[in-house]
Amino acid sequence: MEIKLEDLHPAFQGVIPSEIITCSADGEPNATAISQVYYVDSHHVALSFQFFGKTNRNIEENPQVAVMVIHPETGVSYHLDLRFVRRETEGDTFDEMDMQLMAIASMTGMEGVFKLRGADIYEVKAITKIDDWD
Amino acid sequence: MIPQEIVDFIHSSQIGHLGSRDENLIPTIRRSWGTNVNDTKEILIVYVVQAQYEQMLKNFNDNGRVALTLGEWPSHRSYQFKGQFLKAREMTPDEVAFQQQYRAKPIFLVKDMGFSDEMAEQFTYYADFVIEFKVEKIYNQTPGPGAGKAVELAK
Repeated sequence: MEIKLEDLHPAFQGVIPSEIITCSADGEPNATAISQVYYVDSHHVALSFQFFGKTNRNIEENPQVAVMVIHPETGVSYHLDLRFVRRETEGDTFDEMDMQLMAIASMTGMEGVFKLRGADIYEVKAITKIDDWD
Repeated sequence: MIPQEIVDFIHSSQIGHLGSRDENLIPTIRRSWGTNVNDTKEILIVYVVQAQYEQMLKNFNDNGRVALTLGEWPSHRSYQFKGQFLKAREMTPDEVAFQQQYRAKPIFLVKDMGFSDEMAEQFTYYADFVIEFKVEKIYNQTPGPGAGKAVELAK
């Protein structure tokens, strides 16, 4: 059965942190936690761009990334194959992510640490269900 | 060698994710369930669910590059370990026993996040397979001013 992005809405509420893997042009994978995976439309998500680190450099070199999200109601994890499209630093998506990130920071004691610098828009190339218990 | 402070962190961490990439530089991510350090403190022994690792193992065998993040709740302390894949193997009886003890950590984490006992059980696995890799670099990933900085390996 095809998995639709809409089916994963609860996984995008920031209840359970997600993880992102990027890869440099010379083939070195890089793993890190990510605060937000935000539903944009049926074919796109936005990831929070917060820090000027290795993840950001890798995306500039190689737009292909993998993200794992966990559905908070079922515990099922999903693997998203994504391709970077653009970075937004203003507009509705940025503003809504900024508000959500402030709420996540407040819930997790990260006020003053989490700051949204951009809403990185990605095309969703594939969704794979990892767990098989439901 | 991995510094002792980091070895201690590895043993206390509750969250793990392994990353790899294929020949087209497309990344893959999976969870891990507990990590140990070998006697010389150079090799990480990572416990995983084999049924979920088909693509990961293909990637590891093709190019050998490994990225592992380990996290600790509720401190948010986190480190990334990068290195070279050595081997994949079945678990030893001692490691099966280790899994029984380790599983209390992610269950604690999930319950501390506000989920029920039933959900905590559902969210966590028993690992049944082992990935070993030689650590080449360690990075601090704890949110804050030190994030992204390399950790000096011990001599």
